[in-house]
Amino acid sequence: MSDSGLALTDPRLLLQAARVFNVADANFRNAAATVAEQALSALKMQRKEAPARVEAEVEQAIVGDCAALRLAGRVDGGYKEAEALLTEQISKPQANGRVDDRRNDINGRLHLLRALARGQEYKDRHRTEQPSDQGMIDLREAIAKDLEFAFAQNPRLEEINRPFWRPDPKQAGEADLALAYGDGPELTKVIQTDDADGGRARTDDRTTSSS
Amino acid sequence: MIVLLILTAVVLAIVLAMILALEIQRPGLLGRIWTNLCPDFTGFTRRDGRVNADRGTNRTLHLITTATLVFIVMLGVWAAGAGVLRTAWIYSCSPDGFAPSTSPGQCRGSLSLETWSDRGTFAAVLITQVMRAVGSMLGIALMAGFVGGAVGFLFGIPRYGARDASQQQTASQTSAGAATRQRAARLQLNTNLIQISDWLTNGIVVLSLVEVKNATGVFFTTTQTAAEWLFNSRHGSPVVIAAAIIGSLVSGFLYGTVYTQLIITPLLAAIDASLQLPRGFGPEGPVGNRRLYQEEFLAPQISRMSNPPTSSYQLDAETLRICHEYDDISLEDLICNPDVTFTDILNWSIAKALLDDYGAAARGYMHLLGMRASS
Repeated sequence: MSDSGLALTDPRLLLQAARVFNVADANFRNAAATVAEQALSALKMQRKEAPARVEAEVEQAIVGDCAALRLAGRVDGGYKEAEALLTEQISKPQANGRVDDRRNDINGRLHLLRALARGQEYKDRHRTEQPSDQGMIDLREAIAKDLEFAFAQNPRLEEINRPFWRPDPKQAGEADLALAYGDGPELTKVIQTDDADGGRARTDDRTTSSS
Repeated sequence: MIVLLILTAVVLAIVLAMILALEIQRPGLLGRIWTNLCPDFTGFTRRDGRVNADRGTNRTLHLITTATLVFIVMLGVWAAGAGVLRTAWIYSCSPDGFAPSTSPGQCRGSLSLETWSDRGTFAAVLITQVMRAVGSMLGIALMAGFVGGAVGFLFGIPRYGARDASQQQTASQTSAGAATRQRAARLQLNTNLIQISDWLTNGIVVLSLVEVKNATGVFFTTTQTAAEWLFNSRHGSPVVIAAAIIGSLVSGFLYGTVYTQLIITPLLAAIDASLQLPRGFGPEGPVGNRRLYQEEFLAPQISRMSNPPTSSYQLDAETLRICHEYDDISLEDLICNPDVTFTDILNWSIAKALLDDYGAAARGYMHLLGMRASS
């Protein structure tokens, strides 16, 4: 078999592999995280050496997957690295030098993930700070802005990701936004989910899935 | 006088019997012969400008077959006449019976058959001679036709267009999953005969050019000998036997070549196609790259949730069809083939993932990453 390319420098292939490993079975879970990180490294190398070849969809998918891995604790770095990663992608200037949030996050997933990262930060700071502190209020407002942007990009996200602010008992550990949601009006202005219609969280959605 | 009448009657009977025999099998033979010798070429091209291959194939084969049939009938007629004339010659040499030697001027010591009636003896000799002449001429023609057909088969057998390494590399570089059929497969067509045909055709051409003078001499010596043995070189037999051999060789060669190219080549191609791997997924194919990441057709995105809600996507019929082409191909079968390409394995893995067989897909990707990492 002959092939001239190098798989370990092909972000697209690595992204595919990581996602397939992630859902294959438990034996491949660690491989999924490792390959996703390899995809991120390959992406960074491509950004540096051949920025014209970077594909927006692949780039955003890789960044989103790596941020999700950090938020889930499957990769070291936690919410800080996840937020840094997401902010770098969201604030990435286009070829004309301007920052275009919409093009940098086509389906709103990155803003949602950044809201989750900030939600974890909020939970972390909640141990030492009061919800009425200005820093906490600013953080809730930042979370609300991210959610607002994400829902504007893809309204389905609000329905699918309800467990992050309105978790079922089994999902309490993953409710990154529950505290921020309950501590002030900032998030409730943005989130329109009706509890009575909590079942709206559909699983047959074609456009995206949970973050 | 009686003898002449009998001879005429026998010849006519033979010719009519041949025509009748053919007519019984194929009604309207004469009309078909005419139609095939003068093909109607209207309709060979379709409205869209493409050649009507089926019609062309049938017409071409019918034309060659008809010409060969006419040639054989003419040979048979000549052979029947030669048999009759030889009988007359034998009778004139030794009217009282068979002559053991029929060389010119050596009609001595005839084998007397006095117990037979004159007419019965004559009829037996006549029939035997006609059968001998017709049988030998058809035998010669058939033999030459087989030889010509075999050579025609060798010349007509298709070259196996296996892609060489550079072509494979080019295809891989074009795109991962380029929509080109890959040659790597679990089984491959045996190309020994094709290689032998290459060698033989080259050898035949070279030998023919080098030995053309000697071959001509040997050919005419052979035909002269056959004419002497069969017809004592009478009735124009040296020329007719040479013509029979050449004509049959040409007919057989044409038939063999055309039949091989028009009938056997598509069959080989169909078999080869059935042994190849499926086409796979190209970037412009049903599973486009954009959809792959926007809608996660291949595999769900990695989620923050430990148990994210599952999504079910309806693949379109074409994508499903391509996926199911990989159903009976295992990864082990695939990687055992030394000619399998990276794209083959990638397509296989994508197909498994799209069918939600993520375990198999993961093994495929694992092999790809390991393979690439080591390359």
